[in-house]
Amino acid sequence: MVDIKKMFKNGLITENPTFVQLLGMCPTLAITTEASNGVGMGVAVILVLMLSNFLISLMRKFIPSQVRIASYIVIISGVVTAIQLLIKAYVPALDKSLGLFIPLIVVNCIILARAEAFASKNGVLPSVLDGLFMGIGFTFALTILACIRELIGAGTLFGFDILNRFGYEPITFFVQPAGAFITLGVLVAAVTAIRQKAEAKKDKEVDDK
Amino acid sequence: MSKNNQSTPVYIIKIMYPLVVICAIIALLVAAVNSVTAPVIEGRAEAERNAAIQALFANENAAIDGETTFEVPAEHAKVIDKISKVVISDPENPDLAPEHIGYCIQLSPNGFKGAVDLLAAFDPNGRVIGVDVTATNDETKGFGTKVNEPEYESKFVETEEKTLPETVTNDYIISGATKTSKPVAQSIMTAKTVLSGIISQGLVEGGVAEETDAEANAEADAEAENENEGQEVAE
Repeated sequence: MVDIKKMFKNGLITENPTFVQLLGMCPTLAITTEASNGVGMGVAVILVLMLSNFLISLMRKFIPSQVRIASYIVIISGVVTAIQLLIKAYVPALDKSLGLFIPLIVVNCIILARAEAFASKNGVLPSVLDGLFMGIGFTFALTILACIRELIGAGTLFGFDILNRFGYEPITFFVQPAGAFITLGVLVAAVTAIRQKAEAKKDKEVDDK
Repeated sequence: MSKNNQSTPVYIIKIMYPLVVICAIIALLVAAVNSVTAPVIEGRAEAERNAAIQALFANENAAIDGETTFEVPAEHAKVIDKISKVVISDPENPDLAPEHIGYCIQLSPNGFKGAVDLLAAFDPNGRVIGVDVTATNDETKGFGTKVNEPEYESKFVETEEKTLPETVTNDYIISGATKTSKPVAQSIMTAKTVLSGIISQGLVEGGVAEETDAEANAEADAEAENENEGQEVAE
């Protein structure tokens, strides 16, 4: 029985691929200079995760374990190529914004990790849902990070002027690579602190019982 | 399974054929998506190019003359993609010969991280009348992407008082983005030099010299003179 609520919570919070598992750091740091990029990359990763998990789960009994990684990479790269062509054709603005980072989704650890850890061992529907919820968690993390960096670093949000009209002087450091590392580090620390507090509270409740 | 069994051809085929089948399936998938998206991508690229040309020549009827081609010199083939003649056709009088209004050169010099795509527009005498950087691709945002700004693009427009040098000077380099701006500037200057050579030699259609009217008249006069001399001898 598929526990959708638990899977959703896992993807968004408990096993968030960015803040908890620390996977896919390269695109996370590189493209989150604008909030719209974060959402766009997140949606692309959701599609790749769902499609690749679907195909890998469908073929899991057909793929020998000796060539499983090579097979997963072939499937993932094919799916990414197809999605890149679709983005180029129908959403060219996103293609220009994300550029090289769309084909780099192939080597995003999240995709291969979920293929190996989940899709290769579970049915089609649970695998697709796992891809969806992990992708949502990744999109959530990217969007939060990108919103913070764009707001502080450029004074805008999704391209709309938010702070500049009030005489705000953007701190461009936050849209540079060093700013990306620091912002992500602070967010990871905050999420870890919240999780540890929640776990401590849960342990105390269990002890009390 | 023993190690001896793992090295047999049967075992290897048994392991590899699923991978081959997966490769075939994925290849078919990508081919199917490509067949649908390729015309859309090509159509958009052509529409963007035409829009850029019309903006550069400030004329909505400006278009590349598909019947005229120019050979790109081999030593500049890495930078110059295509040299085209630009004409205006009158949509109300399609039988009229199109009017030649200039040239357009597609360039793709290598910037800091990859190719930078741009169009350079020239008048019929080979003078630069406009530059449009159509794609900065992977150049650093806020630095290399400055070549896309109108303030930088307008530097290359030539006037009676101002002509482009043959090599890049400091005026055409953006501080902090030398590795992008210098190749972009040099490509435009090289394009101008190549086009000047084409115009001065009267070259069209892949390198065949075009006869000017004066040369055609001189040949006709020489032939007529020879005929007259032959008649006089015969008489």
